[in-house]
Amino acid sequence: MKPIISTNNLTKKYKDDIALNHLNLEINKGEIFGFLGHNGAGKTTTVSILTTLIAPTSGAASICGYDTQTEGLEVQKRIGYLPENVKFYDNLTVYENLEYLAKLSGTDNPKGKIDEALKFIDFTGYENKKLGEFSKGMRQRIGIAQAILHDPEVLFLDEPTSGLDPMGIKKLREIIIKLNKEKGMTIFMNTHLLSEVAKTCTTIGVLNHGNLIYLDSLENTMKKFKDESSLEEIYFSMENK
Amino acid sequence: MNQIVTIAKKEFKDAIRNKVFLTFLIFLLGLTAISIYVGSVNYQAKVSLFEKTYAQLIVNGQPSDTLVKPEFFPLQLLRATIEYLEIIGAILAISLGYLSIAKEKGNGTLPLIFTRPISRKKYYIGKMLGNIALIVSISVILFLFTFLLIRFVGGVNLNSLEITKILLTTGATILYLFIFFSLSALFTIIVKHPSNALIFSFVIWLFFVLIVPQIGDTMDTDNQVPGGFFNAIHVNKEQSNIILKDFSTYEKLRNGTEEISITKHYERLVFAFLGIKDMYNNKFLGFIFKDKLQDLDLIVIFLLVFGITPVYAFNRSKNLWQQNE
Repeated sequence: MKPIISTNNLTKKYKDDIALNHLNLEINKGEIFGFLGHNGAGKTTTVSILTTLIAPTSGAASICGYDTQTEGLEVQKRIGYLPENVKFYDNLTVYENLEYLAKLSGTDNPKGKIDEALKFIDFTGYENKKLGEFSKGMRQRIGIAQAILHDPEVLFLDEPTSGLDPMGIKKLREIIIKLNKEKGMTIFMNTHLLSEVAKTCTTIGVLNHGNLIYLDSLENTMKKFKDESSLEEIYFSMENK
Repeated sequence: MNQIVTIAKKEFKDAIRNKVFLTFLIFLLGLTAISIYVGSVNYQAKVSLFEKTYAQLIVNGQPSDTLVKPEFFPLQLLRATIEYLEIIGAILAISLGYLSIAKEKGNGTLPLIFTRPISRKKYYIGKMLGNIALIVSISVILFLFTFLLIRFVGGVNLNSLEITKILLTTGATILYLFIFFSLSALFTIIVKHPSNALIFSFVIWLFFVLIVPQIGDTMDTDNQVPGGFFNAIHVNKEQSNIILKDFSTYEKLRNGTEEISITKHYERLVFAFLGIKDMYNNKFLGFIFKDKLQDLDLIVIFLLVFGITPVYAFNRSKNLWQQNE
């Protein structure tokens, strides 16, 4: 099976700093991939390259077989993206924000897609409220809604649970799993919350100072590190290797 | 095309909900209303005085043929409106250009946009069109407002030539405001911190809108005495031109200073349209265009330079969102 996300020696340098060092990654369709790493490990840089927001210094990446640099528009048609601390147009209502983003995504039936997305995230009845009135957790859910308006094949989530209360985290986790199960979306999730990875992901990768130090399924990971008592210890043992 | 229209509509909607923008617009309309009202009342007072004097002369049996009825050129009432537009209109346009880019940069909404299938060029063009629609709306509202004030407060029915001249002034105003919008948008795109862009834009505004035209006006020999220096010493236009030939270097320097200001070109052009400069009063458009072609050309050059440059700057900028972790 051809991987839906693939990177080949992907490297990003900022002046003398290497943010990402020859990353080779293959993620198959239908997976929920948890990308672990401490702050500044290079996770956001990776997602920024995969979502076409920035160019790599060298190497290549492809989504659904399309190169992120040379076939950016094709990639963008197939991805959804929830940035860390998602920001909207606070002057506009929920519906106006989503309508705007749906139209920019080239969605044929924006109203139908907005209703569907809001229903999916259990957010109906708030369409005409302005974004400024919502809590962080609610904004993250609207963030998910904007990312799935055009039924993307791959969904990128950058620290989606960051800053949420336990209830918000639980709600978001349920949505992520539902998106994978019901809509068949491949999900690429940056996080440093190990508990989230254990409850949500099927595959994990660990990035340390721009280097991929581990990549395997969650199942295999648990088997390999059976001596360790928790995922957290597994993570630290990998980082220390 | 649909995406461009979507962006333009959103930009328009976003701006008209902005309180700063609405405050400036109301302020501009208020000042215009006051200036036209004062001008109209002043004219009516002069007419009333003339009529009373005329009637008194008739009653006294004195000759009334030396009494000159005050002339009224209604478009000259727009002088203050143009001066407000030069200054406050430019600020309004700078605010639009700044907010249009800075809000997105500051709020971090651009990553949501550019992970969607839309090119940066299309996105900027959409924003630009939304703001052009806004500038057109502001200009049309303002000049429609002045037209109604002249009609109903001044009690003057404008003829078709005068209405055409107001429409041309509206067009020139749209171009003038768009240049300041683009200038400010350009700075906001290329500098890392949007607040610096606002400072740069206002320095440019201060220099080209206030300082340069003021230098030009101060250096103008005819402006040294109220009502005109040559007029005060009873020298007519032809004679004054002959005298000024002896000061051609000085005049070239003064004119060259004014040439670099877009505000001065706009002012020269619309003052000619509106007959605020007496030599253009009641003149046909052909004469005005021929005489003011250089100002129009320079406005178009400014327009092309500042209209196109931000599109390319936006396409290449690395300052639109944070590009490292």
